[in-house]
Formats: sequence, C-alpha cells, structure tokens
Amino acid sequence: MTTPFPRSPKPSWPNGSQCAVALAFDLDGPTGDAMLDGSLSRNLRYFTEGAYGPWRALPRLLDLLKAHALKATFFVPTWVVLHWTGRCERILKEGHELAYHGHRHEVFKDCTLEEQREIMGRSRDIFSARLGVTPLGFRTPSGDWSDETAAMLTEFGVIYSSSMRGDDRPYFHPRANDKRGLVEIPARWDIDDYTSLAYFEEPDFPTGLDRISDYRLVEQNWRQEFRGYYRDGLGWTTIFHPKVVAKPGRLRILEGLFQDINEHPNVWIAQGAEIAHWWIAENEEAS
Amino acid sequence: MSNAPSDLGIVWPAGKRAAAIISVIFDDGRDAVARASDLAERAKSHSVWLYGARRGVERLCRTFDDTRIRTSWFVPGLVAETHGPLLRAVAAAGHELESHGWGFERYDALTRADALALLERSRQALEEASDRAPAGFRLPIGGWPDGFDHLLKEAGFDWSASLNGDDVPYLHPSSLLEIPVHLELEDRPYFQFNFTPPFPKGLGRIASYDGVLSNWIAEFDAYRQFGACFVLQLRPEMTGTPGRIGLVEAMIRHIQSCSDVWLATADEVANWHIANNAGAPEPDHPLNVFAAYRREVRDPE
Repeated sequence: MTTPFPRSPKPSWPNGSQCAVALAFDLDGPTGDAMLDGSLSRNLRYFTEGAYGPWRALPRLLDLLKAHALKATFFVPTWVVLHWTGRCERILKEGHELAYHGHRHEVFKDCTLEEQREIMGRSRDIFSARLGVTPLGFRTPSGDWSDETAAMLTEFGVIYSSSMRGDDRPYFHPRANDKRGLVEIPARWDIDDYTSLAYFEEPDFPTGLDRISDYRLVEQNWRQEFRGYYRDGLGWTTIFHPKVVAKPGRLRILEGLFQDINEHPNVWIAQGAEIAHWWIAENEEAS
Repeated sequence: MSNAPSDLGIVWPAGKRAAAIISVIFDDGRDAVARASDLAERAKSHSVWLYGARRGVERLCRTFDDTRIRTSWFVPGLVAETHGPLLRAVAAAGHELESHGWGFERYDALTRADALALLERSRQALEEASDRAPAGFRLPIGGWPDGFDHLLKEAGFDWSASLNGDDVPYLHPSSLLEIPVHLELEDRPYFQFNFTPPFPKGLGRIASYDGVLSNWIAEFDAYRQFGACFVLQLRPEMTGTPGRIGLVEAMIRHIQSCSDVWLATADEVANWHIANNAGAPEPDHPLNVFAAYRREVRDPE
C-alpha cells in the first residue's frame, strides 16, 4: 500500500541549509487590552508585571542571545519604543531586527481600515524618529486582523507578516493593489510561551487560571518542536514574550533550546526580513 | 562591610550575593470569601481554607523551626483578632507579623480617610498579637490607589510587598520601599483547588509537586546568579499539608545550601536596603513609566 500523501518537497534554504529558524520575541511591555480599555491606569500592579519585560527581562534576554551568537526579530508596540527608547536602541545595536506590532497592541480586527492606517502611520513615525529605522515586518497583535489588513500593510513598505497559524512554511498572501502580496512566516501556538507559562491575575490569564507548567517539560516540548521542523526542513519561528519567558528561572528553558539549535548542523538562523527576502527571490508569488 | 554592587546595582551584606525571603500569607479564607461571597455559608468548601489555622500554621512553623529560619507573615488585622493565641505563638517563635490590610477590603474603593483608619487598625491588631508594630504591608485585593505609598507611610509602614516590575527592591516617591513579588513564587496558583465555588475558575489540574519544586529551584538559582531578591510566598492551607510540607522543606534546604545567599525576613531586607541602597529609581523604571502613563491618560495629546 502506498500513501496517497507523498511528502511535499522541502522549501529550499540558502546554502542548502536544512531548515530556517527565525527566533522572534514580542516586546509588549504593559500594552494590550487593559491599556486599550483604560483600566490599566488604575492597576499599577498589573502595569508593573508588563513593564518588567522591557525594564528587567529584556536586558538578560539580549545577554543570552549574545552568549549564543543568535540574532532575533523583536515585534515591538511603539508605545514601548516611546517609553523605553534606550532599551530598544540596544536591540538594534546588537544586530536584531525591529518590526511592527501596533502602537498599544491594538486588535486590528476591531479597527476600521482608517484606524489601522493611523496606527501604522504613527508606528512608522515613531520607529523613524526615535530609532531611525523603517521596519519591514509586522505581527498582528491580540487576536485577528481584518480582511483589508494585509493589503494595507504594503502601503507602509511592509514585506512580510508573521501572524498566521496555518502552515509550517512561509507562503505569499494574495496580490494586493497590483503589488506582490506579503510573505507570511507563520508561527504556531505550540511555540507561544503564553500557552504554557504566562499567568496573570486581575485581569486573569489564562481565563480559567490554569497552572503554570513545569519548566523542564516546556523545554522538552519546545526542543521537540524545533527538531520536528529541522527534520522536515521547514521554516520555524517563535512567539516569545520577554515578560513571560525571560523571567530569571525561565531563561534556562531558552538556554537549553538555544544550545539545541546551535548543536544542530546546517540551520539557517535568520531574521524575519532575511527569510522574506529569500522567499521573494526563490519562489513564485501567489496568483 | 559589604560587597561590591551586583549587576543590578544592589549591595548585599558581606559575603552575600543575593537575598531570599520566606513569606507566609495567612488569610484564614478571607481571600477566598472576597472572591466568592457565599463561601462562608458552605461549610465543606470553606473548610478547604480554614484548614490553615487548624493544621497548616503549626506544620509550617515546625518546619521553620527544624530548619531554624525566621519568616515574614502577612496577616489581615481581623485574622489577628480571630486567631490571637495562634499568632502569638507564631510571633513568639521569632516570625514577624506584617499587615495584609484589615479584612480584605479594596483600597481603591475606599476614601483616603477610611483607608487610613483601616490601615491603622490593622497595625494595632497585629501589634497586639505580636508585641511588635508591623513595618510592612501587602495589598490584599484590587488596585493600588494613586499616591497609596504616601498613605502607607502616613499609617506608619516602611515598606510594601505588593507590586511586580523588578526583582530587587525599589523606592516609591514617598520613600516607601517596595519588595517586588512574583506570582510564580506563590504556592496558590499551583495548588489552590475547590469544586464549587470553583478555584481556580477553570478547575485546572493540581500541579505536579516535583514540577513546582523544580520551578522554584530554577527561579531561586537564577535569582542567586543575578544577585536579586527571591520572595517565596506560602499559604498554610496550601503547603502546610502532609503531602506538600516536604516540598517546603526541600526548598528551604536548597536555599540554605547556598551560603552566599542572605536568607532573611522581609523587614531585615527592607532595613538593609533603606540603609544601603537608597536612591530614586531610574527614569525608565516601571514606577516612573507608570507615572508618565498616568499623565498621558489625564492629558491626552
């Protein structure tokens, strides 16, 4: 008996690399739903839990990335850029990529197209004025985006998104406004630290206040995720948050993961924009 | 004599590179009643929490005695009144009683005068129970009101252990010291369980004891490496049990095996800090960014 599903060819990666790894971190800080609904201004405790990310977790994470000679992509709401400009300068100075993630971590699906344009315009101006960069990448914050979002992003010079869940390889979004569609570098919940480690109260996350996982088991899962993508030659990216995964005792999880990645031969460790450029050069865009 | 500042700019006592505090939160179920008001009329469910006074407190204290450590207890004033003799025994064993408010009130829903009255009443009740005026405070529930640090100073407190944002102590504008606390260093998120009313809301499985110990040790080892201030937060009804007390003891023994970590009470750490590390937090410290955020909300561009 033969399988009706022969293995699809693995994507081609530069220099015959076995797989692509785009380590990615969302530096949300205190932005998000509670800032959007205003309740955060009366909730200093919750604010400090978010602010821990840029203030205390990020520098240690950058140290760890440097120690393992890894370059990553940071999706940063520009409210965080405004209030922690020095921290964000260090991200750039150490060779990492900055990319769009809203201004206050807005839910794009709940915004009109004009509101989405305003957020993007404001973010572009802040990145440019504060840090002298114009990002090429975008990850949709909090939940979904709307049907117009992908096309709108191209107006701002965005060439890739890392927002979707439904594949394990990059792909093109449909053409928009007679231009090439965005490259999508999909990420999956399986490698989102919120699903195993994040725990907040008032407001509660997870909503049922399920338990924080055993760190050792989280590390095992994440290493198996990397190894699966490596085995099959796919494109892997992560949804990590410094305020969650770069707390002191959890850096060890990342250390184990980074070691595992570096011990595998022939891994293309790239930033989102590098993967997008490669994908554009190597692949036929969607019709 | 003391050490050179750590990477975090903190000076710890001579020979010590980090600090560890073992704290106990003894609410006698008032924390749970504040979240599920009918709990007090459900004898079976309520007894999940009342177990603490009946069995958990003494079991924790025996372990603290066996390991020869002194700890910091956060207790609502009302609980100090209810359990005077029990708390007197706890204090007599060398533990320090600190305030967890009066009766699980929300300070963000009180007037300044009412809040001050309850804070002072809490201090008095705890002083009566221990012959020592509490110096520290932990916010029981709800938000931290604007300028609350000034109110706590006015009520006679020197420090708080209520907020997050860092892993070393920092100063509020009023010079109240904050010893930051982290949820993953509490036993409650891992172990609290009741069917109806549901705690936790989604009835998640009770965590693996071995996994919790392993997480806490991973955190402690990292705090030690970074020169930070580790604050373990235990509850008599959750880890003062026959099956989990071993986890508490193993954790304490692990801390004690690291002679370069200063195992002290919260009040000792606060006094050390105020004397040796005082200084306003940097402009992009979470406290200052929050102040900027409040200004933004008040006067949007």
